[in-house]
Amino acid sequence: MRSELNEAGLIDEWLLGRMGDEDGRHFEARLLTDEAFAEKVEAQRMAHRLVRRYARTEEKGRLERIYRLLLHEPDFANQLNTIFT
Amino acid sequence: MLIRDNDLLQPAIWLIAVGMKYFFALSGDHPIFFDTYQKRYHTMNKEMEDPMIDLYRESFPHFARMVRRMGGSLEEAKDAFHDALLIYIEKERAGTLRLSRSPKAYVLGTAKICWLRGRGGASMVQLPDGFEAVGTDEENEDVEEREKSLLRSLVRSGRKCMELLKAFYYEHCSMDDIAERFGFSGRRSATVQKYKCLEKVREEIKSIQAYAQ
Repeated sequence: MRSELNEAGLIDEWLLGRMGDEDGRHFEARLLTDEAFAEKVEAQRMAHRLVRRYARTEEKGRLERIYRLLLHEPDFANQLNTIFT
Repeated sequence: MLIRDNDLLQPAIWLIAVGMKYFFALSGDHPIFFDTYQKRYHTMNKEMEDPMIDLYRESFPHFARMVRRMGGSLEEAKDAFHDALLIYIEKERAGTLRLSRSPKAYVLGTAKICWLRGRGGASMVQLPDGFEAVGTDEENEDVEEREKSLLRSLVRSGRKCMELLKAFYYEHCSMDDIAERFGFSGRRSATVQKYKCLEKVREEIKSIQAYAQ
């Protein structure tokens, strides 16, 4: 478990651009020579993308709730009504 | 500081709802309305405390007026404004927000770029990763659809895991913060749980990719 955990941490570092030059070169050499490792990295890259997509959907929901809440404030709602009528 | 009607009215309605709920509970009746109202009140209260609400209240009418002058609709203004707020939120959390003027000026400038890009202009301006317009070719649409379906399945099977990964990768929370927020015994336990969640997502991705081939 510990080595898998460390490996996932290293992949994160590389994907997020936080790995040093020397370690980065070793990492990239392994990517070229170890197909199973390269697959893991690709899956983790996509996992990052999915988490970001999930997070943005959630955040947009939060902003939509703020908008709906502000529509209950007469000043805010009147301003929008005046602009768009 | 101005006191809005809601500041006084909402707690008063909440108190009445709680009082009536207990009155009906004692009398053996218990209309669901009171629970629903209490729940809604707590959600609204949470949103009222949201740090983005002041920036939203202060900036959106200005942006909406600008969009209107350029022939856009309220819905278009809202979409572009939300994209700009997301960029602001993400940069702030990542510690990469460089403000030369006020947050409002930053959000209004970014929202204008988002809106113009949505209309095919301002294409030279670089937006953060993932905010680029999605291509219209079939291959891109396929990838987009596959990702959406994969995400739906991941959320169905483990929303808590997605929340944990969001806290780590998107909100840049420390493992100590994650442990506290999700009720783990400490950072070590949070790290292991984060790994398990990541592994679950990777496995699902691999199985979908194997199925697609």
